[in-house]
Amino acid sequence: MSTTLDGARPTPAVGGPSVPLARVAPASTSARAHRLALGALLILASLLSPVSTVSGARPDVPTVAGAAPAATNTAATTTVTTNSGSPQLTIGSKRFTESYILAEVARRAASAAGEATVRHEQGLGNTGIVFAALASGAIDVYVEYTGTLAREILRLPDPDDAAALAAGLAAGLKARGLSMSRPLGFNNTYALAMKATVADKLGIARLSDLAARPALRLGLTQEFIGRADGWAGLRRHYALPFGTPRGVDHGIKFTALASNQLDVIDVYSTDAAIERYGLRVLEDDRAYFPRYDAVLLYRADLPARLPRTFAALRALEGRFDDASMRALNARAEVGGESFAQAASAFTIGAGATGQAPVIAAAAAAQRSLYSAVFDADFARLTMEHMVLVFVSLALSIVAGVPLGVWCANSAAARRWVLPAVGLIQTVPSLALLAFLITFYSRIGLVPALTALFLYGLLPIVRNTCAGLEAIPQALRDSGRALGLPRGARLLRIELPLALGSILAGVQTSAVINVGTATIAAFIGAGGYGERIATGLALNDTTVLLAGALPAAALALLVQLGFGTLERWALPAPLRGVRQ
Amino acid sequence: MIRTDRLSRRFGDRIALAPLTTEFQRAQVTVLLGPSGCGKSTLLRLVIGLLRPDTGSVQIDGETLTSANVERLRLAIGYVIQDGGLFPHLSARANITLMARWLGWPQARIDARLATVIGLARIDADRLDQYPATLSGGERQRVGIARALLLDPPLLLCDEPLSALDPITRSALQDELGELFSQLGKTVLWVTHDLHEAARLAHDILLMRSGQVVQRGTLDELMAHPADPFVTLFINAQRGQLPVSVGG
Repeated sequence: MSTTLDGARPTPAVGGPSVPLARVAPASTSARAHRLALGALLILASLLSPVSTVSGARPDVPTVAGAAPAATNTAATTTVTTNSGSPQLTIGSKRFTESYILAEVARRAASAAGEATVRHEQGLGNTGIVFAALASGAIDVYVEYTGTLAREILRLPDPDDAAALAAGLAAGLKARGLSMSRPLGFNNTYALAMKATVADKLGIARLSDLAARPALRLGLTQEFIGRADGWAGLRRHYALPFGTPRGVDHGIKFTALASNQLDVIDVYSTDAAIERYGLRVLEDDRAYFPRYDAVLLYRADLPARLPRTFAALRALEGRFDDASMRALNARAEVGGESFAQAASAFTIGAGATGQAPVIAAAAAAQRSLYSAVFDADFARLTMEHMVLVFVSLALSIVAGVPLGVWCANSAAARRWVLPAVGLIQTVPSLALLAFLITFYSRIGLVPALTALFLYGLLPIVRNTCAGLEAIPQALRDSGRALGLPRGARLLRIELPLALGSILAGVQTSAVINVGTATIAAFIGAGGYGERIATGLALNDTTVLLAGALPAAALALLVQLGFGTLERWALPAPLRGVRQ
Repeated sequence: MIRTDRLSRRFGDRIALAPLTTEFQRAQVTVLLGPSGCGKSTLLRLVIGLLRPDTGSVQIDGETLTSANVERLRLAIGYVIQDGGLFPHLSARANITLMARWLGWPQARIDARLATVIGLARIDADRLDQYPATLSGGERQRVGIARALLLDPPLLLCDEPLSALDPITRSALQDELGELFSQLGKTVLWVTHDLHEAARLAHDILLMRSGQVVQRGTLDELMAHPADPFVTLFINAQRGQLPVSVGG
């Protein structure tokens, strides 16, 4: 295929298969206002959620939520091609632009083989979740990076050479019933970059050239500074004459570079911003950075099950390079195209990649926040979000209140049940989702509801137990002395007396669930998280806010609703009495 | 009608009640008298099964109290504690009629019985829809007594029911309740540390100290023939308040 694009640069790129969390917006006033509002929301979300999912530190584990194309995009979450009676192929993707686009490219290639019904489960989650989905058979194939595979998934020791690495990967995958293709051709790794104009003026093209320029100002992301394969090793490897570099946020490093406040920054080698800001990626001439070659990771039975489809997928091997991947990323991130549209550029040819996006970007920028919030999918997302929150809450109540009663009546239960439900809260949501996908061998609503149900337990169990324990001994004795049997005492006296505390626990669970439910979109369960995930993947603050604002509003409504419920459900003397 | 047979209970190392074998007579007010921690409340709580005995047993009308029959036997026992032991989430009416509703009485029967017991306990019908928090201390205690009388139990156990009340209310209620008990012919076990209260209510007094019954008899007998220096000590400590002067 003559797919590629402009003059590929065989930059020894590197870089985590990572996603920029925030595209650098032109530093306009409105962009700053959006950014401030976003910051406030992320803080709110982290307060609401027991497990903070807001982290800029791991680009591979983006923030709050799920999948789905940009609001401006028209692609459906699940795309079905060919007739529905045929066998199925499910392609997964991680939650960042490049992964979405490559999965769309793979979907188009596989569909063209005409052998199977091909679905793309978009933005399932981070590496752990997507790999778990593959291992469990929920998906058949996705694009992974060799460095991630070796370090994060298989945890192989650093290999001596490429052959040893390949052997290690093959053996590790075989043991899991999986296999991988040859590289697709580009290498998305860490790299250092400068403005091309500055680099040309100073005559810098390679990392080793930096050694002679101790006056250059370096601004590196905290992750790069902290990584084992990041700054410390790089400085030693190239004997660079710099002190401790300045730590800068991913979102501002490009503007800082553009406005000449910095000279050298770290980038991902296929980052769309490289084209956009006219950067020169410095060649890793002494081969320091590990390789993150993109490969197709698939279930070992795929070639036998769908031979023609598999052959079509393998035709993608070696068809990309760093520059062509950057161009595709730019179509979605800068150009405002949907992932499917960007992917279509791969087959159509690259000629137009450079220009068209800019116009689309301007159009996208003009969308008002209001219209983004009340977009066509608003009702569907609201309904999905409510189902996630309230179905899981109902389950938490049904299980949590009896557990709380048990704890109040049994020292042994208190010793084991309370720490157990507390422990659940400490499991990061993504880890829990990854586990549940493996457990159920499926993605979507069931694991999402299970995770929310588990997170909702602690406040309800603890408040039920505390509410019951707070009942004075004299009142318990009065109930017993009257001759009421145990069940009647519980229903007529003890639970009503503890109701204020129990309702407070349920309210806490509900508010937490509204925030946590945004993560459900990670595994295809829908809700406002879809917009948040899309906004993150595209660095589109408007789309992100269009998901985060309704979630925050829903949290407030839930809070107010429980205030009303409390006035309605509690007899006057018990109102305001909470443990 | 109530017998205890070598009934005892410890809390850790402390003997709350030393083995006690005794009887309490029908239609009499027996006052369990003594200082704090003497075991009088423990005895009461053992009789109604709120505590399990370490040794011995309780018989009510010839039936030995067990975990199997305790809930049924409690229906024949009224239990009144300090401040009434009322449930704060229920109105006075709902507190009083709780057991009748639980037992599924018809509403007409509940209403009739409610009218009777609020008459006995002298509760203003206007106050029945108040929650306990908005009743006075005396009103709460009357509601507690009405609740205990609802099922017309032959036996009433009262654990310092009046000790939280002001002296005037307490004195009025002592007189009222004394009359009520004799009018209804209830068998009453009444716990107090107040000699004055014992004098006004008791047919029979058990003076207790450190889990032991030191002496049993009428107040006159206790004063005239103290079995132990402690009896004299306890009586003299409160003697100034006595309504009558006995002995010397």
